[in-house]
Amino acid sequence: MTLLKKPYVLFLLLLMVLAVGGDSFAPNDPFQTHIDQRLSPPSVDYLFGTDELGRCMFSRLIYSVRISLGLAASILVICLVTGTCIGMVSGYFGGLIDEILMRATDMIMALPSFIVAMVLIGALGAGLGNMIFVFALTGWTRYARLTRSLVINIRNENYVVTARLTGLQSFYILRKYILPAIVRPLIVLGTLGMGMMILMTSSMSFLGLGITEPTPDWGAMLSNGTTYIRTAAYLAIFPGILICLTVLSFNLLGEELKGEKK
Amino acid sequence: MAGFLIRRLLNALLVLAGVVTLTFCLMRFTEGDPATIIALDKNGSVLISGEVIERLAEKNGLHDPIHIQYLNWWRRVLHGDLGNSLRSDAPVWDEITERFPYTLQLAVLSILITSLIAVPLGICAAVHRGRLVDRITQWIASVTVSVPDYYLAIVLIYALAVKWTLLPAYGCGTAAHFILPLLVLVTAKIGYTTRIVSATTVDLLSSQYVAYAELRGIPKCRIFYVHILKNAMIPILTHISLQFLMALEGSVIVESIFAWPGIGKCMTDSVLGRDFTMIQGLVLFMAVLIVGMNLVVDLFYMFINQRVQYDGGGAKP
Repeated sequence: MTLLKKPYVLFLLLLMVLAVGGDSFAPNDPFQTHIDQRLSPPSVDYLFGTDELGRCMFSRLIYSVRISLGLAASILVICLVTGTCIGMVSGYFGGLIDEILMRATDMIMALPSFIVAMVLIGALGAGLGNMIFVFALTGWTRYARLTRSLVINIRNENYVVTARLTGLQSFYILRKYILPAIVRPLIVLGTLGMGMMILMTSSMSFLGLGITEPTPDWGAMLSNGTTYIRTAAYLAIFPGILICLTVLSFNLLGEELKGEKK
Repeated sequence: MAGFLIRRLLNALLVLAGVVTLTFCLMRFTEGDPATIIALDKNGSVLISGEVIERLAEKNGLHDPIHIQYLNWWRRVLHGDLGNSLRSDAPVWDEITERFPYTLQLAVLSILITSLIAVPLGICAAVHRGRLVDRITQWIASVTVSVPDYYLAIVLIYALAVKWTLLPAYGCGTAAHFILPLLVLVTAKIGYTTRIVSATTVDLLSSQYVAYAELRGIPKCRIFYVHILKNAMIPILTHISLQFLMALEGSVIVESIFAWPGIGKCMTDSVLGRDFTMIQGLVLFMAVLIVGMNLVVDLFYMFINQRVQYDGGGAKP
């Protein structure tokens, strides 16, 4: 349990508590506007000040953890599951299936995923569901690639060959013998991918294409804050620090897990 | 080798054909019928008579069966006619060619500066592995990949343009306008590039032929310049050329923040303004750039690294 002593792990745990607990930790209502107290600087009542509608920034930041982290996590889970399934099928069976799946993967990997997501959002419209869809569409490829190479490495190990010789079904072998052996590197890549996903989704919201008002989201709040950068810079500074710390924590955790494996 | 070349070219053409098809589908993905969208965009009002919509549909050939429309789209693309912008009515192609040089300037300059700093630094970190330089670059890499580029841009604008008014925050024109966007682009990439350079060099330093060269008594600096540096250049150059694609992607955010009149800003504006013909044109243009660039990188790699066997397909690990 040495991991629990690391500050970034504690920070991530805190974020998880905030994501689950959300509104009950917020000192004020994140949606309640106080128009007479708009753009007031940080004070005792409003720890991080208020935004242009007089909403408590601190409460909005706490509430946004659930939205932003939840969005990134759900995209990541979809990508991981899809990518692992495709990679396992491709690596285990080989041949024509492998060829077709890997050509498709290569093609998607050659595209700039952020621009693809942006264009699709433009066509489909903003919103949580569409965000998940457009990022999952291009995000699974790296997990498929990794899974495939891992599966190819172990598919001729003795225990897998033996399992095949005893007449077990391919699906059973993949689930019981291969998946447990490759799950660790996938978790490492997933942890590193989480940071990247947060960056991509918040960039999208920053451009005004992702999650929009009044739902608090890190990217959207930051973009909102830039409008008032001359008068109330704290509106942009605090969400930004939160994004940086979160991404940094996920990256450090990923690096730590990667180092442990060796 | 010739077989690889042909297959690679065919693959590139296939991807481009796919992109042309996808851009055709783009208009059909959207909610509502295309003629209404065009009418709404042109007139900006909800109160449009059915007659106007009908006329627009007629003019844009939207009454033809879908496969005829598809063939027409192909014909227009091959003739280089991407249509007119729904917003400004200017030809899409002119708009792109006018804006692209701005994006290219930023991309080339940022890659140049990044390489000039990252390559020596990475090699230095690899040679002094585990020492101070190495650890510092590692930390810089960890931190810079975690900071979103738009946040960096905002902090820099706040510090250098709002607080101390040293530099212009928006627009382009003078040399001073270049500093902030370049600072953001270079900072975002430098840590990562340094790590890649240093990892490549470390791999080479511990390779067998370097050990053998040492055993033969070849002077250390000769080993370094001839045996290591020459071989390290292959992956490093490949990586740098791939950065060009990342710069294209990164341009969207940076140009939007600094109001830089390149194609990245154009992209954001078109998506926000639902200017679908412009989006179609931009996507096609970027796809051609990306496919072409990937092709060049692959050919370059094949040319310079003749040890690699291109025996095609098969399940390579």
